[in-house]
Amino acid sequence: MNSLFSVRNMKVIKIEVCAGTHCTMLGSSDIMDAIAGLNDEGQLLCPDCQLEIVPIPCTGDCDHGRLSPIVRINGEQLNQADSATVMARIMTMAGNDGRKG
Amino acid sequence: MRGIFTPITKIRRQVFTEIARFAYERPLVSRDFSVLDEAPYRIIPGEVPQYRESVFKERAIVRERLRLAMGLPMRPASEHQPFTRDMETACSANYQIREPLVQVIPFACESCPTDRFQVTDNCRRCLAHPCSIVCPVKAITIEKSGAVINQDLCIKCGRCVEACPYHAIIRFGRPCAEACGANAIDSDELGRAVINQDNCVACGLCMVSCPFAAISDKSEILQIVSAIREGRPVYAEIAPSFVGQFGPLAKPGQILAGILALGFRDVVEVGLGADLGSLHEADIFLERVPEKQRFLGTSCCPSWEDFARKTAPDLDACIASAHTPMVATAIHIKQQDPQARVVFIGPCVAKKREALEPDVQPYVDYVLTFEELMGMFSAHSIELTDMDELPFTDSASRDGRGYAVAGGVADAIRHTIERRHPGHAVPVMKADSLQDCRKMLLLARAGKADGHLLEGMACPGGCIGGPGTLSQINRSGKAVQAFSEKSPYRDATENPRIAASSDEAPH
Repeated sequence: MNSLFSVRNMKVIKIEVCAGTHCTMLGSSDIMDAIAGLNDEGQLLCPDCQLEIVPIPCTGDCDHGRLSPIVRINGEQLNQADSATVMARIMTMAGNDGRKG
Repeated sequence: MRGIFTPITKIRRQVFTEIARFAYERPLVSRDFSVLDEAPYRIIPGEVPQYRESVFKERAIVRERLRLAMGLPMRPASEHQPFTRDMETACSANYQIREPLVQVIPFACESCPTDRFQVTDNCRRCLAHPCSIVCPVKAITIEKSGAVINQDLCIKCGRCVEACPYHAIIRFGRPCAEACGANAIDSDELGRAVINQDNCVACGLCMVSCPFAAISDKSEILQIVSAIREGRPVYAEIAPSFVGQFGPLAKPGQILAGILALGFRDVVEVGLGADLGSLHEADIFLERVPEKQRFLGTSCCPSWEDFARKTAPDLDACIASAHTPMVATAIHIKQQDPQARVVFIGPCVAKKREALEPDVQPYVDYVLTFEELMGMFSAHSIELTDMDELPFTDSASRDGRGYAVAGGVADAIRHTIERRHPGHAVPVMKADSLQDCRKMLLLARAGKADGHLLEGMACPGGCIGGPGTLSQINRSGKAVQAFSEKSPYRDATENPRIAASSDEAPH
């Protein structure tokens, strides 16, 4: 039975953002700030969507910064990520990709 | 662009990393700069321009940025000079950077129009055209295309902006000039921005506000790494705003360990010097305000101090003349080790200029920003989250660490006064932009600040909003507060390290 406090249907989007040296230098903290803003502005995401933003230590996948910043969205890895790409991916997953109809 | 990571931020940091890598990896006795010849191609790869009309121009700008990041002057665009000129000289611990520190790279400047009102395509060419009716100088005519403002007549009163029902008229100016609170942005004969070095107080805010990355400052990464590699004892003194700058997972003790891994001998908190400064400025306040001097202006922000002296020379005597926390901390280090070379690491560009002053030069050898330090971590592949946390030997007090945030300096001095003289009222005035500092000085001149403690800061939000930071102000503020709460001492009066050294402190 669904109660008011049910979280059974919550759609969790987990975003892991590398907080290692190369990725931080190339803007990973700024990506975190940008997506945290999506969470704050409530209306932008579907009502039962929840963003889980986790800074993670260096993944070792960045090839000494050449592929930084590294971001994983529900396990799928994005190399040379930027805020715009990450936000667009999240918005699509949250059913609000800006396309009408 | 403050608070947004843009391609400009990326290029600036890549330049620091290139110079740091060169500094660490170059053979000590070599005149081979080919690594740097190749650097523009690493930063701007391929043949397709990403940011400007031509990839050649993009690389030419990167070349000047590389030279500035080595501490060298730019080359004139009108005569031939090799890219590598004077590079050998710069590769020495003893090479000293010279003013001007903050400069416009002329051919990178897009000559943005200066402050003006403009009609946008929101204009509907309406029947009422209230814009032209409210204009007191008949500068607006209604043409076929819509309203047109005659820039020669416009007196910039802004009435048309208010009157337009379509919000079709906007005011805009050069981002550099809007960021500058010291009226230091002029134009050259080609309409490009040029910094008036007499007015400039080196706050660096124009640099991080230019959307074309046309403004840069000089760095001392190369000279610092040279000093380390020459085997000199190089000490870091780190400003309290450092916490939270190097990613959300890097703890203060890991940042300390990272700096040591770069080859520094030791790291001291500038908060220690801040504690000394609080005690000293509290003494001055108690002794002199308001009988002998009308008010007391704080001294730790060099841009504010410089700005106050230039804007209101008549009030000069009211600004504290104590050594800044940077200098007090450097003296503390050099008392322990007279051979020490001291590097101030902070969010600040103006400290680079302060360090060149004749009475500061003997104490502070180099200045590095957090962004430049990050470039060194990156070049040296130092992963902060892998480091073991190390403790700071001499802790600063909670209030000393609080200097990083606007309001923190005045609070620290006020607390010190209240601890010594409970019940002694300390009225405070604060400003955290040069624009507001100017207003505060006007109030002071009019006598409205008599008996007050005046805290001036050039950067919005205080030092955590400085041009050499990597982290957003909100996040930094929280990190600084958390670190401050961890100090074993509430304020300067409780700090035993200060009691021991305040007698030797410079006055």
